[in-house]
Amino acid sequence: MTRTSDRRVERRYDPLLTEPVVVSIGPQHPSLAAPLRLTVLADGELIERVTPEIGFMHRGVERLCQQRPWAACAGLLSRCEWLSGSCGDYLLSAAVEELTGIAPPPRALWLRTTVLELSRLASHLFWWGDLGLELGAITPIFWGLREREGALDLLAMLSGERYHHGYIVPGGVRHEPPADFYPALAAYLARLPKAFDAYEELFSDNAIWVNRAELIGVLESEHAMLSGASGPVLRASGVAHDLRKDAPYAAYSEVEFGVPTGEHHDALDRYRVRMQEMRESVRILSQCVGRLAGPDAVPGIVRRSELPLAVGELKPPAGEVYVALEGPRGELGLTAVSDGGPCPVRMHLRSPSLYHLHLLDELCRGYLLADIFVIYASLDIMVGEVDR
Amino acid sequence: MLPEALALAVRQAGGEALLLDSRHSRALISDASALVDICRNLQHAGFTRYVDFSGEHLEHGGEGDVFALRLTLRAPAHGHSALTLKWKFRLGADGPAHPTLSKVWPGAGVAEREIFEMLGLPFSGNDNLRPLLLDEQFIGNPLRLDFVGSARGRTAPRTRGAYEGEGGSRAAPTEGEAFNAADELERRYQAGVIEALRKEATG
Repeated sequence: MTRTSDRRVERRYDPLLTEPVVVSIGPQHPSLAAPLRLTVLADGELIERVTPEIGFMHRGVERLCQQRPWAACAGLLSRCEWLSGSCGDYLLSAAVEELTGIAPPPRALWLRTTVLELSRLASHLFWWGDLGLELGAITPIFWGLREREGALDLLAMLSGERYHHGYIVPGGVRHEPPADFYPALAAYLARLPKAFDAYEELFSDNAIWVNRAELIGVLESEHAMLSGASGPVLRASGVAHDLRKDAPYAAYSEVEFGVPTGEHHDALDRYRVRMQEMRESVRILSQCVGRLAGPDAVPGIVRRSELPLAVGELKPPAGEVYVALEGPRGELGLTAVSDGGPCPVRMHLRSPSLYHLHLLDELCRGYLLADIFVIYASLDIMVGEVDR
Repeated sequence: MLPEALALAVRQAGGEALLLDSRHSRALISDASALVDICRNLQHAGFTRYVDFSGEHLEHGGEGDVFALRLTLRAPAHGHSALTLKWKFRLGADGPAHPTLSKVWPGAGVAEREIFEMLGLPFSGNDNLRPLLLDEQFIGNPLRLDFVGSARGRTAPRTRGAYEGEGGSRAAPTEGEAFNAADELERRYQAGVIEALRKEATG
């Protein structure tokens, strides 16, 4: 079997005229972290078409939001993106602040940046471990979860919760972190680069992984943009777009960090972009520690009390808004419409994974069945966010 | 840059745009008939990044249903600035269907599937409008104003203390009985909906 220059497999003359077979992967499958079915049409081992079937986890979040007070919607949204649960909290808070015109205090912006970057690390570390697992390597999941525990412990110190933090609230953040949070965060940041070096040594240059991912699942930048790709998937296609740079929110406009991009637009580039992003997150968090606890610490309150926290009391004025953040998987957006009442009229979550999942068909065509999980893992799909 | 590019793109397509908010670049398009041309012009003007497409059911009445649709784009050549277009569309009995935007932005095809199943708004030119998130047997469009909810969401609330072991006298249902009861409710609900649709169709 020969591969072309982009490593797609050339179809060979088939004297037996064998018919293509349909392979159903999922909804329960060891390589799928959450329920999802991939119906694959294959000619032998050659993929002809991949049809993703979703909705196994659909909970009607958008409909439920229409029947819940604004403050209660944050819990529903954070359960769409549970690996970085603060993203939902942030989106709801940003939408309410945009509608009311009340901006959070500067210190809260730095605390939000800290929480969002810890969430990104928690998500990327799980992705790295899961990627290894999908390829048959067992060590990464243990190593990745070991470092991820540190991020979850820090988030639990802030909020008392490991997954759905509820720390970011309309008007700022819930409260000041405990005094031992900053030394713990600094110690965590000191050990992460060494852990990343060990990851790279173990996996990144491993010939087995590189041979399976190099020039596999190539996504060109133009098509990526027209199809709604964002985040690391878009950056690996060579587009240096990051909402933290291009439309800064929280305290990102005052933070220095790089935006890694890919050269070959393949699965390996998507992997490398995320690995570099984790190092950039450590850079951002180090700057956050300096601005929250050092001699240059930003003073002041952490929450504007004009926005009530009690469920049912929050009534943003009539209007509509689209807010977005650079989540671990890409642009996570929220369209919120208010009529001035206690519940939103319409809430729509823009899910980056939904669009990345529907790119799977084009990315897999012409490759081998064994390449599906390399491509799937490189996209970092979050099914909770797809199904909502 | 954004308001000018938008105004030009809309004018070239024979439409008219009302800027709702210049800071966030949100605009209302008054005439949606030239929508596909407006979208193509916007793409040529630099809005090559598709971001999101969503809908909202505004009115349900005798003259048809009115929907609000929102399309968010970004312009990579201009710092990935965002632009949200909003327009209203009335779906009448004899009126034209909404044109698909998936020919301009392939990513919009998935969003159209979701809008169709959640709101019941079809898109002409999109051949793949099969259900995205809901079961293929599901009847109704959950985000419409006239949606009443499904049987599984309307099962009778379980009263605490009604069963043996909780101070009550009734034997607690087995798992199988509970499933059968839910299925029966679902069947009765679907039969009712089908009957109602049949009556509506026959006048």
